[in-house]
Amino acid sequence: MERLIYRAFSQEEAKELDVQRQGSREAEAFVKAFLKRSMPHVTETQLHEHLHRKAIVLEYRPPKKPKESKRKSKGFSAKQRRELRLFEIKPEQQRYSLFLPLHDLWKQYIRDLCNGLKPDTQPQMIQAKLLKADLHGAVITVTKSKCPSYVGITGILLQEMKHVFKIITKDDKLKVIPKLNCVFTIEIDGFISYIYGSKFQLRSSERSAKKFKAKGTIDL
Amino acid sequence: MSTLRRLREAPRHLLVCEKSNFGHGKSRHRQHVETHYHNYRVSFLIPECGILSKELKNLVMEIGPYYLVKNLPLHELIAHEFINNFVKKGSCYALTYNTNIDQDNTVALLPNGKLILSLDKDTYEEIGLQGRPSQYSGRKVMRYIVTLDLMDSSFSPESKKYKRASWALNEKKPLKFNFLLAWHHEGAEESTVMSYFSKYQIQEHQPKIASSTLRDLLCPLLQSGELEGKPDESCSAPELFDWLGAIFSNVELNNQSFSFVSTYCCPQPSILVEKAYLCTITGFIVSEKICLLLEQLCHYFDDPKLTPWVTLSVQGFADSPVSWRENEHGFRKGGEHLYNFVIFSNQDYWLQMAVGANDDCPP
Amino acid sequence: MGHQAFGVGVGWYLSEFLSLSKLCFFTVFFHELLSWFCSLPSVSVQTSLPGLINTMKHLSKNKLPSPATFERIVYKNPSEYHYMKVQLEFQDHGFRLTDAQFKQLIVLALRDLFGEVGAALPFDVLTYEEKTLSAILRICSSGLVKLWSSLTLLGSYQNKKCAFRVMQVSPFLLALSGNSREFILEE
Repeated sequence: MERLIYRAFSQEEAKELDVQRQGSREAEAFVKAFLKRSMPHVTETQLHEHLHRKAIVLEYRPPKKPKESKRKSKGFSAKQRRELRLFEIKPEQQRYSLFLPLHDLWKQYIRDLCNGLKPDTQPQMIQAKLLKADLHGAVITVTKSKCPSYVGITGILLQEMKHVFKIITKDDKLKVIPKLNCVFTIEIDGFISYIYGSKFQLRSSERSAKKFKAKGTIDL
Repeated sequence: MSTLRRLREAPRHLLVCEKSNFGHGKSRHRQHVETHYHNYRVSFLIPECGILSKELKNLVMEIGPYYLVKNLPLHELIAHEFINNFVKKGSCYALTYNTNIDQDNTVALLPNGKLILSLDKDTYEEIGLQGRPSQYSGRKVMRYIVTLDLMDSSFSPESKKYKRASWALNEKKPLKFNFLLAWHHEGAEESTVMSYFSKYQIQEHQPKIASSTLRDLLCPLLQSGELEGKPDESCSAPELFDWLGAIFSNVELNNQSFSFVSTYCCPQPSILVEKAYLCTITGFIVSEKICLLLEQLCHYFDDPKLTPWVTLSVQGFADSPVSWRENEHGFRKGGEHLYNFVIFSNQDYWLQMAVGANDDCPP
Repeated sequence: MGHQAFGVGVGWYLSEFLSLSKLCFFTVFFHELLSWFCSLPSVSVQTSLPGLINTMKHLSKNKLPSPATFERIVYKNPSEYHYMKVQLEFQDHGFRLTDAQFKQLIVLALRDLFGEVGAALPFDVLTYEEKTLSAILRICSSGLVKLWSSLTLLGSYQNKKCAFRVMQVSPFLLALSGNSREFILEE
């Protein structure tokens, strides 16, 4: 073991590495002195033991498993999506008359959902269905709001985001109305429903899965 | 400890005492009288007087009629016909009848053309007109004030403001109230108010007049130059204010300090007056008539009289949304806002204005 | 001619000396002068001393105090007393109380809620109407809450059910003379 440690370089190796050859005895003395200087608190016998007993592994690397292929693309972040402007409606297309067929479609959809809106249908059933229904294309009115300038805005719902409704009014104006602290009215075939916006702050896709709790009175 | 402190607290109130002379150019007595709209009770007390003079009597009888209109929708008050015929031609006063300012919606029309709506939270959220929260709300705002200026040039029939107000009061939330109306105008057009509102139930009422002669009255001595009174020489203005209240409520003034029932007595120094004339007018009284009454009482001292002073006191409606000018008025434990003139023989006057808890300091 | 000149001279003298401070002296002087005047044949002056003094006094009375300067004082919580207008209602009508009994009833109510210290709270029954059992009470401002709460919690008197109705509360007695909330117009 000692011989391996203190084996001298061969001539060629020495030349290659540009190292001066030393005799094995000098090399041993040098190594001992060096170790003593760098580890002063360790005694000589311990140093000896370290060098003799253990097998010092200088280089070891476990074989690595090959990494998985690239992760699934998570899609764009919200900022990137906003930049993409997928949901923007261009001003030329902001015309009320263009969206009337959408409203008719929505009416048909609701009628199908409620199995035909007869005058004697129970309001609770319609309520339950509307909670999970998609409201794009409904004619929505703001009846109560903490901010009085929002009251009275009526129009077709174009986009429902998490916190706002985007509505186009009869004057071809696109209005963005926050849901918080507002009460909206939806009318279909004589059934008027009130939606409390503060409890409705969910994306329309998530709303279909949410269970709503019944509360006594809701104050704005 | 704070509970004990709260047990000893009473709602705050303010009394403003002013002293001046009617002859001063800068005297603001006219403004004070004219900007106190919605007067409920006017009384005057003339010591050493048995019967009223003819001019005063005529003035008292001619305090004009006021009208009660039932179930008047609010949009009638912003109709341009109403504005052109009544608001712009004279001073029109209106106040909702039998509504409480701290519970219900209250509407008032001031003679300078402002329509003030004091609404509770739910009505404000539904009506859609821009207003501001009341000054006297706690943590949660329960009361909102909406002001519409009817005489503003931007309130013409085609303007956006008018259209929005008209839509709000006609379709969104039609509000109906019973109104007390009074209209003061120069000119001889009588009872046009009756004919204008003939579609609704309108009744004309005359103010109630109650007069009495009090005998053997203890009156405090006053010196017009000393508002705070000199000890042993004259009484102060707050003492006079209390004494006047006692007179109007027929309080026994001469109690002994050991009496069980009451120990109230007249402020000292005082003199015994043989007789005094007290007249009270109750109703919906316009400020212009009170101005005339005040001037007539000043002329009372044109001839020398035995008494050194006379008083005129006016109390406002507790449920009016405004007290003086457009200061907001509220009802806490008692919604009082009243003022009192003491007119001296040399045309000096004392003016005391008193307000309760939810009120600003009078101007 | 000489007499008239003399009369003018006397008039000038009078106007100069006719001041209040020298009133007494010159009334006597004037009287002496007049009596001398009357002895002159061409002058007849009818006057009497008391009448003269009365005229002088009237002139002095009309000297009014000078007009007051403007002064404005704002008092915050000036009134040490609060006034309450209350009415007592019994369940079975027709029960009458004198004013001393009324006050005793209120003292009992105070004692029930606040003990002997509360019962010692000094208040006055300023007016009392036996027919309607309504009264105006005066209490110092620090005792208003105590009085009002004990009136609210009074349930019975001599085993008869009764209740206090508080109509008006105000720190100004003048405000109690008219209650606009009781303004009822007949239809």
